[in-house]
Amino acid sequence: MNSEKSTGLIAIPVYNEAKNLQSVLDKLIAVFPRENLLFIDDGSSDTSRSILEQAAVPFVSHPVNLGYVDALRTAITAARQQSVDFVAFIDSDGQHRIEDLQRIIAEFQRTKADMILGSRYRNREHEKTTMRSAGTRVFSWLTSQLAGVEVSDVTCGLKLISSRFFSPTLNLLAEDMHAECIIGLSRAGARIVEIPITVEPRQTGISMYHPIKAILYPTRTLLCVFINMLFKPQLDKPE
Amino acid sequence: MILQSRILFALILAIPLIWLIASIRRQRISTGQAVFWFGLMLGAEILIWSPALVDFVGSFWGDLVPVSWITFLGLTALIFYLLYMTIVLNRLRHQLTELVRSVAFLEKEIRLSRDKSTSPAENTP
Repeated sequence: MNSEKSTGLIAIPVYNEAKNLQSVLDKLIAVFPRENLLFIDDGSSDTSRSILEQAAVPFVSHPVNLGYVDALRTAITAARQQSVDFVAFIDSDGQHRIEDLQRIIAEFQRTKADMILGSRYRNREHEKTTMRSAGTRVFSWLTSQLAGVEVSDVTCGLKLISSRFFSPTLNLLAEDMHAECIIGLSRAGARIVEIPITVEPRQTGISMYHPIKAILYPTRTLLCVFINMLFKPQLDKPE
Repeated sequence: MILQSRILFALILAIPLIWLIASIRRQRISTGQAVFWFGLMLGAEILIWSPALVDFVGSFWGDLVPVSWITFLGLTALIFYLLYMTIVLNRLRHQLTELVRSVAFLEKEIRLSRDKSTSPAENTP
């Protein structure tokens, strides 16, 4: 994006994040040109859409809530329509730092990796382990074994996908586009890189993860992984 | 249940299982519902291959007679129909998702062209 060679789209899925959205929006437009941003309002019932309208940033608005994974699919569809070189995802809850997003984009400009993941746990093995981080680490280990690439934070929302893998990502059966996406793209031949990031504590609102989801999520994700492994991933034909 | 019956039941179960896997791949069924159906089929498979478990459940509920052929066929037909309805519902959900996405992109285009027509100077790239 800062280079003449690569163009990109920064996608921000939004669902009822009115309290956090303004600060995230201000930080993003202070650093990136507006035309490189795309907010995906996933049928918010609060004032998220009005905030986006007032800020005059590019956004698409789902008339009804489709869920996180379909918001990401909308972003990838838009990125494909715009023929950009990559799409980068950042959450709208204000937990991701813009500097980390810039580092992920810089890593893409430097290495042209097919998928770049942010990791809260890389180089922080000594830090205190909570129940949730323990679950994420176990699942990350399992993902690493299946993907054949070392991943330490499988559920991080801060990530980048290169245009070469837009179609395989859209075709993947996905629950949350985390583990299943990493394993699926790795099997399709994607070069995956992980870089350490820092995650801020959530200011307001509630996380989309809760105890019931902590049980259902791995089951559903593993089912997606299993089904995806039965079929060969399809890459875009080079133009 | 003799081995012949168990193999027959397992083969009957294999049909919806293959149908289920194909439907998941074609995104005609959501993973949440697929987990339910997989669980149901796994449970049925366990019962087929564990007559002791069937006897235990029967005696636990007061020596109920294990399933008869008619009951079994009736339940199988119902399960097939429910699975079919689940797939139909999910196909509709998938179509709705595509429709919502198309509406969202069209709405964005209309909004941009409306903004351009009202204040062209501000929106020049």
